Amino acid sequence: MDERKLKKLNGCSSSSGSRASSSGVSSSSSGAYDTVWECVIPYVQDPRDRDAVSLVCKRWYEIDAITRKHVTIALCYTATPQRLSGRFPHLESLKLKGKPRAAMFNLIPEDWGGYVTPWVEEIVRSFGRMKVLHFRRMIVKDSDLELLATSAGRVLEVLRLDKCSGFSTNGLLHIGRLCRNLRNLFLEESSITENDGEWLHEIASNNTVLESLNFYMTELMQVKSGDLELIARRCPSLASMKISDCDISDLIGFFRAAASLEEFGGGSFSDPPGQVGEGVFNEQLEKYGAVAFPPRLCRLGLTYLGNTDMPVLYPIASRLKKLDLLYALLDTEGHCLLLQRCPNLEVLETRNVIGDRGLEVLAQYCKRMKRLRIERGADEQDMEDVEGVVSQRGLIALAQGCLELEYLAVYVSDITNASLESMGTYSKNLCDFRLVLLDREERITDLPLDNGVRSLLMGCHKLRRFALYLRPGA
Amino acid sequence: MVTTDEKGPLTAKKKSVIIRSCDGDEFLVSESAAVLSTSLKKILEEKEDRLIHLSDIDNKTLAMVIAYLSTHADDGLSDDLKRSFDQEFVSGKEFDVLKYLVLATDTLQVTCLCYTVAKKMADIMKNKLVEWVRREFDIQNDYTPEAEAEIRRLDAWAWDDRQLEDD
Repeated sequence: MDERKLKKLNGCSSSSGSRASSSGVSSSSSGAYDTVWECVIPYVQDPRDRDAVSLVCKRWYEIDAITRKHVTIALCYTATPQRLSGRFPHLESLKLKGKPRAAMFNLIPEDWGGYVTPWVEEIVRSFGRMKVLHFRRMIVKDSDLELLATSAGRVLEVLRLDKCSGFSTNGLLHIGRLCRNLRNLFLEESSITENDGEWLHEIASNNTVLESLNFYMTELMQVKSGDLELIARRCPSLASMKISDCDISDLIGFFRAAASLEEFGGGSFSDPPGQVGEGVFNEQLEKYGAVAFPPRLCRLGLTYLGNTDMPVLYPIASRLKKLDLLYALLDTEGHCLLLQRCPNLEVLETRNVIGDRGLEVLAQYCKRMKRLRIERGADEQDMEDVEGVVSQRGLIALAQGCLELEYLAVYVSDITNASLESMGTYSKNLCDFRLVLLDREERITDLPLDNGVRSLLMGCHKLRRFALYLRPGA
Repeated sequence: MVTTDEKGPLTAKKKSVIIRSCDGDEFLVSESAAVLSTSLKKILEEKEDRLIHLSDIDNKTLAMVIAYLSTHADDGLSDDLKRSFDQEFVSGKEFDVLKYLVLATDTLQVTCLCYTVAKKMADIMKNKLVEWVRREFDIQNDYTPEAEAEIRRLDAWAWDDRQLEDD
């Protein structure tokens, strides 16, 4: 027991019962007051509220400093690693961002900066309890990963190398070998030099607590499906796996072993051998027919999923809550066929090939839809039949059909005031709305959009983020 | 004065202890309830003392803590009922009452209640300005304007946490 408390209690637990001995701590004394705030401030978790806390008085500044568990530094050059450890010595979680957002569009030179090295050195030196590390758009070297693994490997539970570059599978090998308590390894969209697939085998051999592994949208090709299966066997809590391209028919064993899996992303379907023809459909079905998805799987994104592969999803379509079709090869008709089988869908990400017709199906069948993101399909005109565009027609159907919609990001080819008005009328849960008007069409049906925008803003009371990218005159 | 808690008749057959507040009131509490406080448990283990005097916990606060302990020691109540009791327990209480509860539960080491009350107080601070916190909680600002400005300048990075998820 805490010395102070024991003393306080033992001192007065005598059965003499004399009131005189009960001098007690006056509640207004600063000592007692400190105790209150030492108990309370750790539960102030919103970063903004923490800001306020640290400015109230010097004592609160100190309490905040020693009880802060997580910090996000939005630009790694706004602080030094030493300043960080001096101010918040007991951090357990750190998120650091490097290059500006423009790097995602290849607008920032690779060697712009954002090196994690000085941070990793300080973490190893000063933060003995660092459990969660998230580096975003930063340059990570193999030597950084090796240092982390050898010095902080036992403590580290979450490592997110998010859109990072500069490292190879050699660095990951150390992570796989030494970070045995790692629950979450995230490498999505990082540029990783691939020497071999040994890193994954190290994870499979050493880790039994992994919950989430993500190397989606990386160019790691030498991944062995046997290692994925081994991970699934050895890590009973594995709930999420997102991988690079790996033929789905090679993952039958993995899916069978991953009993707790709730989310899967990536994989690939090989092209049907013939271009078109009667045999194609059956041949694909035969190849992928043996794929059986795990019983709890409800969030799915299959790369290169084509119309002929779709029946693979039908057995689990009704329990899907999230579907990522951004990298699928479905046409408008494919979207319609699939979506009408997904009554429990809450999150959908796809491209505008979904078309107005796909949105109408969505509005009719997917009543629980909360988050919908429709990206612009890049130059793939050949895939987009004449229907593969989104316009006011789709938006009106969506607003009227999906009343629980909270998030909508969409690229439209045409727009009207009336469609924005219906969002204002029906989308009472909308909190985030982003719309881009493509410049594909010469003529837009109904501009300017002042009245529609006004109705939307007045009708959607929960709206917190709103972005419109239009064109002159809109 | 000996006040028995509601579960008195049932638990009286079992061992009980008397807890005296700093104002001198005594409460008869079943041992099964008392030991939910890590501090009381420790004392009972060490001394077999049937009368425990808490010199820094007042009557009103102690009564509330004992009501909490007795409810949570009652095997007949479901976890759901206990949870709703907890919710009810902290709702609508004045800041001063909560403050003494935190102090008492910290001293007595009643972790769950300390958490519940501290969380409630932390929630009061949500979305509030520095000035509001100082005024409402009666806290003296001991920064000079220069010192405060200096912290804001030097530690701006530490407050830069309102970035959007996908930025």
